[in-house]
Amino acid sequence: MINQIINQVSEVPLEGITYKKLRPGKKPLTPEYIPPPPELVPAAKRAVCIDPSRTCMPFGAMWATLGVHRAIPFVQGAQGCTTYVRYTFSRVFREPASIASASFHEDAAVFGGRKNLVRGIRNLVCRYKPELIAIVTTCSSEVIGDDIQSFLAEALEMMEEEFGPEVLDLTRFVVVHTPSFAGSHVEGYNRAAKEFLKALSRRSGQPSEDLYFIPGFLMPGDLRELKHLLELMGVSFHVLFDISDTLDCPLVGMPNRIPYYPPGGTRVEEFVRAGDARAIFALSPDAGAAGAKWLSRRYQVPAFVLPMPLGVGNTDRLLKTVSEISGRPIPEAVRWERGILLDAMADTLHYTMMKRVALAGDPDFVAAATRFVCELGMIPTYILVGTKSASAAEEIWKTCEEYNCQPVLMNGSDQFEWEYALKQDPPDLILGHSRCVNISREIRVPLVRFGFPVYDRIGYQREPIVGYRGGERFLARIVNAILDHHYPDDRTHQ
Amino acid sequence: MIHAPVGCGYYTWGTRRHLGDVYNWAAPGVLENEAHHRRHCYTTAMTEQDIIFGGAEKLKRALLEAFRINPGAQGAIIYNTCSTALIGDDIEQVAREVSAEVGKPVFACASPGFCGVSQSKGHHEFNTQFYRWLLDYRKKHPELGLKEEEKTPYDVNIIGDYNIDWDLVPVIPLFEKLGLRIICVFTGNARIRDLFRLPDAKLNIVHCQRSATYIAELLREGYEIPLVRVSLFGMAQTAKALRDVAAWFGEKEMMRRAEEIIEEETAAVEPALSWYRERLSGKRVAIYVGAPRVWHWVKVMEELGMEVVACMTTFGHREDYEKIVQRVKPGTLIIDNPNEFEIEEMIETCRPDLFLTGLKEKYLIRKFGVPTLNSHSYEAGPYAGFRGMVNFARDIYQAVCAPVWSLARTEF
Repeated sequence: MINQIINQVSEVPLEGITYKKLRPGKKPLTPEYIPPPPELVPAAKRAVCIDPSRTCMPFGAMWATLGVHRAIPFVQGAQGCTTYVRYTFSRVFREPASIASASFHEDAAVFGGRKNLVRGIRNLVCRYKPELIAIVTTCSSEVIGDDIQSFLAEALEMMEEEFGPEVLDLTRFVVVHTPSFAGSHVEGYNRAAKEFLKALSRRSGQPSEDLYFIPGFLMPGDLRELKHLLELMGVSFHVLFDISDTLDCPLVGMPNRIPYYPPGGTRVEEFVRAGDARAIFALSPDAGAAGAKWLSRRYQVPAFVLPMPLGVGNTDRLLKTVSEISGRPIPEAVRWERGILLDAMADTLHYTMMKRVALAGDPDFVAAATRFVCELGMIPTYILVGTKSASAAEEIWKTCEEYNCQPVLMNGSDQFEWEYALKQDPPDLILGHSRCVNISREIRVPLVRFGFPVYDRIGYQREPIVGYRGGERFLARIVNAILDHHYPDDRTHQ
Repeated sequence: MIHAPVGCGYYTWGTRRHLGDVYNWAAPGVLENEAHHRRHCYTTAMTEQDIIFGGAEKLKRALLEAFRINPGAQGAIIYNTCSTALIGDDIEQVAREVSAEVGKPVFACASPGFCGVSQSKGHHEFNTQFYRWLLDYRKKHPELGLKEEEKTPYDVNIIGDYNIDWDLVPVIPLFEKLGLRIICVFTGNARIRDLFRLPDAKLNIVHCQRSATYIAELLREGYEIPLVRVSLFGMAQTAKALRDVAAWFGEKEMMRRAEEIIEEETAAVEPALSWYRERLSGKRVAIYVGAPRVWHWVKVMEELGMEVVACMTTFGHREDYEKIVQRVKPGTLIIDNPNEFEIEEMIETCRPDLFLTGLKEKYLIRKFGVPTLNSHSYEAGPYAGFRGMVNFARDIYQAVCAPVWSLARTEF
């Protein structure tokens, strides 16, 4: 019995019952391993989805909203749609995330969510005074068929009557329709990017030199690295949905003012001026391109949909495009950083060349990382793209043709299929998110965490993987994992 | 099996620390999973087409596949959600068909998110729906209950303990030493076959008195199984739990054993506890957790010499608040279902030295310079029972006495 060990300790020491002392047992479900029926391994042949590598559409829209200054997502749905998303933000960023809920109950399912929205918006505006509210719909409100626009009009009318017409200047509204059955969190972000620009951006007729960037699910550290590169380039720029100072904030002493708002985030004004931009860049083709394309169609702002700037080739591509469009040459400082990354790659090539690597995650991360591992001379084996994506597949196949490798691409599949392949044919390394920990332990192959979600290691959100310096850090993590796992100490020093 | 679009399955997968010790094989000779979380997520991942044309067929196929992939599975539970409830998929029918086909129990739980105020309604629904299904299934399969000759006069159930971070490890031996046999824990580290034996116990020991009292009461009505309400947090409450249970059996020997256990356990933890009490004495604490834990923990905080200044719950009912009011000092602030704004106001007004709360609030409150403790899943449990109390005290001490708070207050 597992409990015996603990109860044998006659006096419980100060440190209490540590996990080592707990030693909880493990009981197998069956006497021995039974492999799954081979015909049920490919996800395409199954009705059941086992271990998805993607989450729901509203999540992506809420992520985007939290990158806007004093903006609060208002979720038109049941409470779980808010609670679970907040859990996920807390877990990934270790930061507060304020999200409002329409709190659907049975009456909302029967009569619709009008009352919930009208009252909810009023409460939110008068207690939090947000600069922007993004109304994010959910499965339930979409199935019921809530007419959000008319509900919103009614809410505004009611508030005008109650608080006077000034209240209408207080808060801007964006409506994002995100029924989760129509796509994953990646599509949610994509839709939000479009809806924000559609609702807010204008053209004043005075074109600016500003470059706009829609980052996708890049982390705070990545955004800071991106800004650093753009500062070196000497261009004037705006990062939309900038979570770097909303989901990674200092503890500066107390007390904070209430209600708590993080200091950062893209200003509403920046969205408004997007119509005058010199160009707009989507750095994640699946999460944000819809926004860039809309702006281009509406205001003829040149739009560039590029792979995430991860690794040498992808970062080169971004900076060359920025240089061409802005007319600014690539400065020496940027070449220096590029040189440092190349130097690190040259120093470590014996550790990376010909190593077989499996990848899993969101399409934009995986597509860009595939190119980076190929640049390192590694061989991608099994690639899981959690959300089905034509653009990621195209980018991956282009990379593989250039670098002459033939991985198995599981586009839009689930982790069960991918893990089964890894068990049959273990790679030397896994690049994936925190949900890949179990498979990494089970087949004893090291995991380098990247992408979304990473919640089980500290500091990941601040450590960039994009740009040349980010590439160098990412390379170091990859090589160190290989060294830890595959090399005895006497082969690591020279 | 979560019958829903992908997110509902994704978020409920491996999040709260309801731990268990049964595992599937990952490969020959390798058991799955380093942690003791649920390793896999099974969902129908409903798409737009499924929502339009109905998902019952897909659910049935998915469940049959899941059973084929996991031949060791002893049964299944289907949960429906907002979207699949709104389109009217008949999950009970699917459960019956699949159960007949695979010869294993399949329970369909109707749990759309909009069906109640909070997860409290979900607990309630599960309790009543599961009980009804259990009765029905036992009637058809009488062999699933304990046979007369297997029963003992000391068979008990623990109701409403979810084995959060192995809470059952310090708790179960207490009752075993008392001479009892625990046949089922509803539901912590439990097996489906154990759940079928729920009606065979002589007594139900009810821990969480919000989420699981319902089934204990149903068992009392249906099978005349009495219940004893206990709290298994803190020294005095755990001692009282043992005394109350022993007194229910009314055997002198058992009551003597209860005293023996209390004495032995107190001696084992008192040196550590007094070390912590010395350091925590006089600190002000605010509590915001699921309803019963609030009134369970008021006493626990007092045992550590701390002063409770505010109590909040998300889904406390009237009776929970009555118990809270009985236990706190006059002047304590009590808020029902607070939003973040109200929590922030509470921090300003009450100035607690510690806030016991969950994951979502803890990072917000830290921004105000107030230490927090994850009181839903714990920082490093178990916290229940006598021995768990030392872990609880240790984590509170770590939170309150970490040097970072005074560094943050230093003028710079």
